[in-house]
Amino acid sequence: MISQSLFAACAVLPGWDKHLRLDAWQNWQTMPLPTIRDEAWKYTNLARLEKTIFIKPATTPSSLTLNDIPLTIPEDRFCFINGSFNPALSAPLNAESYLLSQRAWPSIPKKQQTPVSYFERLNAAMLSDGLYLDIKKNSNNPIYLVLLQDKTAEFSTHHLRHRIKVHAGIKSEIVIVDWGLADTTSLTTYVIDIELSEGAELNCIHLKKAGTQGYHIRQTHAHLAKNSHLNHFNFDFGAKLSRNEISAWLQGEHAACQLNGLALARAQDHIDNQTKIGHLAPKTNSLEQYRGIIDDKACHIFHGHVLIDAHAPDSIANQQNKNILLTSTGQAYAEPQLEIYNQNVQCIHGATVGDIDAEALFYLRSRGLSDEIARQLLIFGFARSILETIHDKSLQSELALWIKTHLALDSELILDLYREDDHEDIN
Amino acid sequence: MLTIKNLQASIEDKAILKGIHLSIKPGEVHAIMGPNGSGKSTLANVLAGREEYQITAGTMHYQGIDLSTLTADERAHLGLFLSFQYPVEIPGVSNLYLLKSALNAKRKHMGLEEIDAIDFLSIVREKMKLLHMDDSYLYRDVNSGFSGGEKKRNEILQLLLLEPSLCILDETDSGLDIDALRIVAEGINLMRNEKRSILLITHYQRLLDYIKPDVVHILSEGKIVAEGDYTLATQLEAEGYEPFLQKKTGG
Ligand SMILES: Nc1ncnc2c1ncn2[C@@H]1O[C@H](COP(=O)(O)OP(=O)(O)O)[C@@H](O)[C@H]1O
Ligand SMILES: [Mg+2]
Repeated sequence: MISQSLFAACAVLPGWDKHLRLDAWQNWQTMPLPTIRDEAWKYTNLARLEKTIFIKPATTPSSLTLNDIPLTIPEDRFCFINGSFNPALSAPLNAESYLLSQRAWPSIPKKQQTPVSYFERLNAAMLSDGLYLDIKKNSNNPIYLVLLQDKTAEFSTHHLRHRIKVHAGIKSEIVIVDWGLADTTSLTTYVIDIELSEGAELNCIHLKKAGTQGYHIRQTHAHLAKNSHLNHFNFDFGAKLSRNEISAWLQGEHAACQLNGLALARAQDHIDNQTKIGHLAPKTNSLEQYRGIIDDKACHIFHGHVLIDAHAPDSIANQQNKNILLTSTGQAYAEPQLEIYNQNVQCIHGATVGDIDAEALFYLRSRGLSDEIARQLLIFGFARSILETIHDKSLQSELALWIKTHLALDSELILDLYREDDHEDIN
Repeated sequence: MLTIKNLQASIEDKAILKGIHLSIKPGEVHAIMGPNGSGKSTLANVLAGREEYQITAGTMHYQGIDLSTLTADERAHLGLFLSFQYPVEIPGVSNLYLLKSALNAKRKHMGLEEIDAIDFLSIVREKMKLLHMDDSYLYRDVNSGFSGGEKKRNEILQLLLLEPSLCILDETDSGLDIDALRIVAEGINLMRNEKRSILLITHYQRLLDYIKPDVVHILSEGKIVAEGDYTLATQLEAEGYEPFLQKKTGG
């Protein structure tokens, strides 16, 4: 997968701990690649990845512009191209920010220093760049962190690490966009640490489209203090292998998180969502809604682990996972895992895998809608229920267009759907 | 309007309708009553074009057209409407969108242009007023989180808007409290005219107090076992289904 010489060719970031880097590399080399015999990887086979030889580290920024991505990226943004920070495309931030490649991060808490998992070690060893966001002020506008890959990224590997700290009582929104502009064979690892101080609130929206040949592995760790609130949205438009791990630790009383996800898998896409929510304090609350639409020979995995600690009485956890299989060749695996050590809690979960709802299809057709239109409406409606949980209306309608294009839905239909609902604002 | 002869239908090889004969003329209101599981909803679904049911014998003609040759949406375009016993929730699709698409689908079939958005809103609001529904219904997802009564009202709203020639109402009265029942029944009565036919499927007589049928049929185990005028429903209410079911087994 990655040779010693590629590691040696990797620039050493001035802000990154040299010893940590070397240790991580050595530990990574001695660690066996997870296999389908490992519980956490039983539906995701890494054998193909292992055989792929990557030859390039993060490359120098190309001549891409923001017009190359079909998404409006507003001000307040940090852009990385093929793994490297691109100052030309970036615009000033409201929040205090530090780049790993430019200056030292504020020190990382000890227990977060040592990478444990296979891909975290690789990430720590090969780090391309990373951003530390120290959010001390409320902001009405979201901060965008954008990673673009173009065709020059063929056989390259990129490794990013972001750390986001939201200070006490502060509200913020971050949109992370990973966009593969070409179907290049590349490997991206992403480690994101989120720390919410007391009473902080963060909306974090992650959009990913990695290209049909991309391997994209992301680990998000969130720690929530008392009364803090995380809304995390994970929109995945597919990759050869896309793995999204998120863990949210509700460490203080009344901490709450919402983890929502939408996986749109088609062709040979493989999307593997692994979530873990730890209720560690009393009266903590979690809501999780993950959906998958699976076409062609694609695959979606959802593994949802909810842990309620003995010290977390009066907590509420609700996990829902629904999948629509559009073909008989697609696959979906829905696995809830509940681990509850306190009797005074409420825990609800549900998981479904199925075809388009035949009752709903008949209902629409009995109202005069054609089979084709009725199906499209049901598919889009299924996705839209997740889409609507993000409150940013303009992002919502942009995402609706992505979804439309991705699922080859009728443009008029989707536009109409939105046009109708706009009346609400007029009235 | 509707002529059904010896209709037999099954699902998963289980025979449910076992030879139904029924004829409804323009302007008539017919009621079908029968115990749970007798096949009332199956009949309604077969008429509306639900493909899960196999028609094993018999014919059904609507305005002279063999219904079995038409898909559910084609039947809707020709003016057949089924108000569902259990209206389906469709998250992510607004009621307004469904109402407008349904109306436009029908208009398209009639060779008319799509309805103007403003005209549409004023028409739909007028119908909603009749049913005592507020504007928020338009922007909610179709039937999503609606109470049983709200769903039934929503069905009747679609009925008023689409102005079908054959209205099949499957237990529209169940789930409605007495005030809602009166409002919904008034809505249905507004639709009564000499050209339009109505097939009321119900369990109880109470809806028939508001909408008086011309003919009452009693369905039992997939067959019509008794027919008569309105007084049959009154008799049924007084004596229960038992005498009718016995009559069937007796001969
Ligand atoms: N989709 C179905 N699959 C299997 N059995 C069905 C289905 N629909 C109806 N049935 C059976 O057909 C019979 C008649 O049902 P239905 O038409 O709903 O009766 P009613 O509306 O008079 O209560 C019942 O025994 C019911 O269980
Ligand atoms: Mg029924």
